[in-house]
Amino acid sequence: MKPVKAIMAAAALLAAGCFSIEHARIQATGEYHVFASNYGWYLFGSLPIVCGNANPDAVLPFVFFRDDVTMDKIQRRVLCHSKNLNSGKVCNLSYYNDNMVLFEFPGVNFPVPVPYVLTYRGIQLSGGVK
Amino acid sequence: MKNIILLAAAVLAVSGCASVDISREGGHTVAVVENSGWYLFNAIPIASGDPGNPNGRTCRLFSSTVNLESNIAMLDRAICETGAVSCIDTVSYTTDEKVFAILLRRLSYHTTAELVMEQETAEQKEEETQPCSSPLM
Repeated sequence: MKPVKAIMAAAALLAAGCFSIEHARIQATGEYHVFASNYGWYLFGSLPIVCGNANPDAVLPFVFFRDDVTMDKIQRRVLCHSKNLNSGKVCNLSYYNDNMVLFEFPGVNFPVPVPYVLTYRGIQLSGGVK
Repeated sequence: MKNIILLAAAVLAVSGCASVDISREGGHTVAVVENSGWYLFNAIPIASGDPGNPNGRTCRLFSSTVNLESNIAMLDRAICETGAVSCIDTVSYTTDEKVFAILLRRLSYHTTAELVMEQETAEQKEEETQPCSSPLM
């Protein structure tokens, strides 16, 4: 029974949430393209259970009972990250927000019949740095 | 042996895919770059698209090319190949699909941008140098 519990715990942590930020240079324009994303799980659509850790000094990739899947926090990280690229002037910011209120066991296409119990939220932000 | 060949063919058929699609409708040239790959337990790459050969039937096994850098490299190549001089409105986002929680995951990076042709930039410069017309009275 112990290995099963350990596998389930590992699976839960791997699916818990993850903040990521990366950049790449567009040779044709000389601009940098920055992309950041974060996602997390919520109880009743508002109480954060676990999400990616958006703290720049984070040790763990996820954080419990704190909401880091907010546009403010992700935008702040993108702006801080962009300061060291080119002139640091950020342009063309574009959000891609995703909300799922009908929790579905991934891969089985079988939703929990009651919505807003366990919900998922993901925010992605991309932009250019001149 | 036959089963192994079939299995290998199936793996290659559903493996990672890199593509660059370009639309030239209405005087706007828009490029859509996509690269996807399969992961085991959310971390171990099984196969991903080959950014060196987008729209081809090749993939990279046991390596992950699904990242922003690969997409930007494909976008840069599309700019060169289409004769564009630069790009504007570059937007990226990711999508993922999971099979049994974390057992199998398909991650895709999408990047879109409008390509700016040399002719367009010349027209823009002309517009900029022309004096503004007087406002209507």
